[in-house]
Amino acid sequence: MECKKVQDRLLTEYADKELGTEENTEVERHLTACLDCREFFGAVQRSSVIPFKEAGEMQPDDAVWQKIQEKIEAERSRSRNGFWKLADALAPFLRVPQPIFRTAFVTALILIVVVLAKWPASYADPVYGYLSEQMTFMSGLKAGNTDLLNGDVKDYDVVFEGIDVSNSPLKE
Amino acid sequence: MQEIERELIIKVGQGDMRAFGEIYQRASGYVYTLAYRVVNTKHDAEEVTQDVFLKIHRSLGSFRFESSFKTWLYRIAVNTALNHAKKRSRVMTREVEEVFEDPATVTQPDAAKNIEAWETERQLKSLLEQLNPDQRACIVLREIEGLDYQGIASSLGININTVRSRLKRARETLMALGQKEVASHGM
Repeated sequence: MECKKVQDRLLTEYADKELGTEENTEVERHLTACLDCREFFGAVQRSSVIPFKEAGEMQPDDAVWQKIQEKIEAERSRSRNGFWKLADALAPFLRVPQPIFRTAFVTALILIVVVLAKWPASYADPVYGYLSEQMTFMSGLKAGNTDLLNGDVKDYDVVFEGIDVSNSPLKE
Repeated sequence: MQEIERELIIKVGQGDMRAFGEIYQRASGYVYTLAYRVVNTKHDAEEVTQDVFLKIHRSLGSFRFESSFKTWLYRIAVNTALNHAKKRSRVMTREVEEVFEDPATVTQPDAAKNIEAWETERQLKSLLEQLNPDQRACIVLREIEGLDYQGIASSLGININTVRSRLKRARETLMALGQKEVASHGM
């Protein structure tokens, strides 16, 4: 067996006593003959096996048990309440997977940005609004739409009859 | 940790808080120690311990005795701790007190032994900090809990080859650290 293969086993199955009898014997035979691998195994034991052997058991603070009892009591009183009982029963159906939420949020954000980018700033200008309204009105009149004149005068030619154009600079 | 009697588990399933208190008394040290080794801070280990016992309390009523309570507890404890450690490492927040905190009282009879225990704890903590949560869980289950490869694989829900490669990487990392320390002391 080559050193590389032996050292692979020394880091894993040999150290953990997981090797089959035959391979185990083979590794031990190699270790007897090879100083490098013996030193390697010593280093494995010193750095990653022995330090853990002295690990003791620890105890949590008493506050942990207090908190557990409080939470259990809170869960019990919640389960006695009709509203929470219903909410808990519906919870699995209402739970939406997070990726769906994220996709919906990003789509909505893109939509808002696109709409705002396409919306000309001039639309919000009051002067632009007034002129636009007047242009619509005038083009309506020109097309003979007398309904725009509030119903008092039905023929738009009559509108101009009362206007004295004799002094107008436009008179030829 | 010793196995918990069937009658006690049934009592908890029926809502007996005193029986649950007894299970906590007998298993909390084990759960807390395992959690502490995996998450490596006192605060997180307490949170994990709390979560584990709440999960146990919720599901003991439907425990079917298909596996032993101990194996079931192993699985819940190690996976809760591992998930917590992974979330923590994503957030990458570390409190200052975590550097030299006293993890908890390690039961020792005299002061000299306390100092020794504190030093062992400090060394263990710094070793485990070098590993990622997956490697840490494997090393803890193997070296501290004494589980074999099959036991580690079924506790973590991974295959034996993954257990082997995680242990190998973990030990290589720890060896490299050991060599670095030897080199720095020699200078």
